[in-house]
Amino acid sequence: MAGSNPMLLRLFVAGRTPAGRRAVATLERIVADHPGGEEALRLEIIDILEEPERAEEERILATPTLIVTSTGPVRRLVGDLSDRQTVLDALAEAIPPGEETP
Amino acid sequence: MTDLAYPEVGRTPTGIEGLEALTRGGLPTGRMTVVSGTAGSGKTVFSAQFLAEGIRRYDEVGLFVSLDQGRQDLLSNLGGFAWGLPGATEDGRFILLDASPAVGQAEVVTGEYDLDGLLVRIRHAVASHGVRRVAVDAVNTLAENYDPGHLRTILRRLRALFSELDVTAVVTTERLSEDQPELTRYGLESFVGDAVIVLRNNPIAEYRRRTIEVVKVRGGGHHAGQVPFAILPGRGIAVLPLTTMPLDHPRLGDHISCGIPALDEMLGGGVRRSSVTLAAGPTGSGKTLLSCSFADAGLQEGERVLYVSFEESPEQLIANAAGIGLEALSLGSADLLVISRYPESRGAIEHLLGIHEAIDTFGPDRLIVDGLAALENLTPDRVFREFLIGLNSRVKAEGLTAWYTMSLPLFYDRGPISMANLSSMADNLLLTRYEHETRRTRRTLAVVKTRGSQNDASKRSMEIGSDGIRIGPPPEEP
Repeated sequence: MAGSNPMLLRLFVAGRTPAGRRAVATLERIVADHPGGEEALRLEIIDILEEPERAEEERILATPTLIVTSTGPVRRLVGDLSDRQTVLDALAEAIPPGEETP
Repeated sequence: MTDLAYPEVGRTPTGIEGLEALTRGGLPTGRMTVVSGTAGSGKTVFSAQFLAEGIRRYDEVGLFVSLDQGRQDLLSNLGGFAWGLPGATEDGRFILLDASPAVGQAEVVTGEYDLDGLLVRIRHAVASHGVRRVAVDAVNTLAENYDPGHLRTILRRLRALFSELDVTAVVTTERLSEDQPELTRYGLESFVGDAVIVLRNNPIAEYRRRTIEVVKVRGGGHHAGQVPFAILPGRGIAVLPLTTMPLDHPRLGDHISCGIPALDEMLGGGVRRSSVTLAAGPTGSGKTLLSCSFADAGLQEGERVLYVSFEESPEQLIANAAGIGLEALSLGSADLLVISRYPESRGAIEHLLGIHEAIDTFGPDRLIVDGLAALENLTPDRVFREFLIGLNSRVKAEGLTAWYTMSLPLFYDRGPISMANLSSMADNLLLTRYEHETRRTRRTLAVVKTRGSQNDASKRSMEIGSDGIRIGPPPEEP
């Protein structure tokens, strides 16, 4: 079950910008709509103005940037995530074929 | 009046040899300088050297923001320069911010974004390390990896950030080709920069002529036009010092011996101190041995002699000199420095900068440059002219007594193009030749011109023996 190994969604924003708020809203809806909920999808929001060293660690240039980490390849999405389907595709790609999709 | 004037902007010296003369003191302090050039024109070297010299010479911490090369690639590309970057990295004075795209993590763009991440990271690095100089290399990468429409905004914001943090910054950007009419790839980078420098790398036949041009410095003057530069192994960029041929020749000094009494007489008592002598003639006509005599005479007087040869190794040169009985010319002498270079080992401007460096460190009284034709053969006319002007200006500025040799074709109506340049620059002109007679070939020597002395222009025979160069008597009056 995915709960034992949740997918990590880290969203990097720079303060409270409209694009950042839209990205947060999209992700919160995706988590809420997911049957596994927060057990399956762990969402973390990082404001790089407060934690600039984390922007350095993950080599963030653009904001918002979403980094999706699971058992498969790391996916990076840049932008306000206004296209929900693109985000869902990225979540699917973060898991190798054959494993359970979240 | 004063309220209309630009506020005075200080200058931050780059520490790059020869560049301060072009910018009149350095890059605008606390401002952004845009450096543009094609791939391979030296942008990365320029920006890294700006930081390295800042660390070495001015004790200013430098931040390198690499947008296109990853940490390993960058460090290995800069590894050939002896700027002390490994040590400065270790003690936290050279900070490398790797902002190149993360390998294997292609970014998918969906919706609106900006490039705040870059600005936040630069601000954080500057604040945490006390950075005074920043280099961003190369900003066009952002326009390739993200929407090019962001470029103008990010440049404006970078400029504002540098100004707020009061750091002096170099931002590089690529030009598509040397033929691109715009100074920069996107045509807008130069408008945002407080200063703009263009690096060029123009092919002339197989030669690459590198030049640097300061296009603008806001609120201040600068030298206009393209100036040759070189990227020297180990040292990095060196700009050819700004020189112009002095319009009025500097005063020549007293007479000094060139080592052959009869030739001294023909020259009106020897060559004058601070003069330039050119010995020209076909290969094997004795030019190098004349140069050796001139060098040997200087050493005998306790003068310091710098001998630059484009044709022979130091050992060969000394052996030739010993063969005609010259003894002071010895590699063991602390007053002699012989630099022997294959002309093809580097470009003419690199050779010239090497001679400049030897003049700086060795401080010669006499300078010999032997074998100019070998260098000329490999060098486009325009560049060779720059070489000659740069060499002669330095010689005149230092008051060195100089002796050049130049091979001429065995049979010639008029010499190579450089002969005209050279002989107009030379105070004294000697021609060595072969004369073919019925039974033998005879060497001859004539002093064609001397400046500031009466010369004997008669053609003399010249014999080379184990006891030196013997010059025949003047021809009998008819």
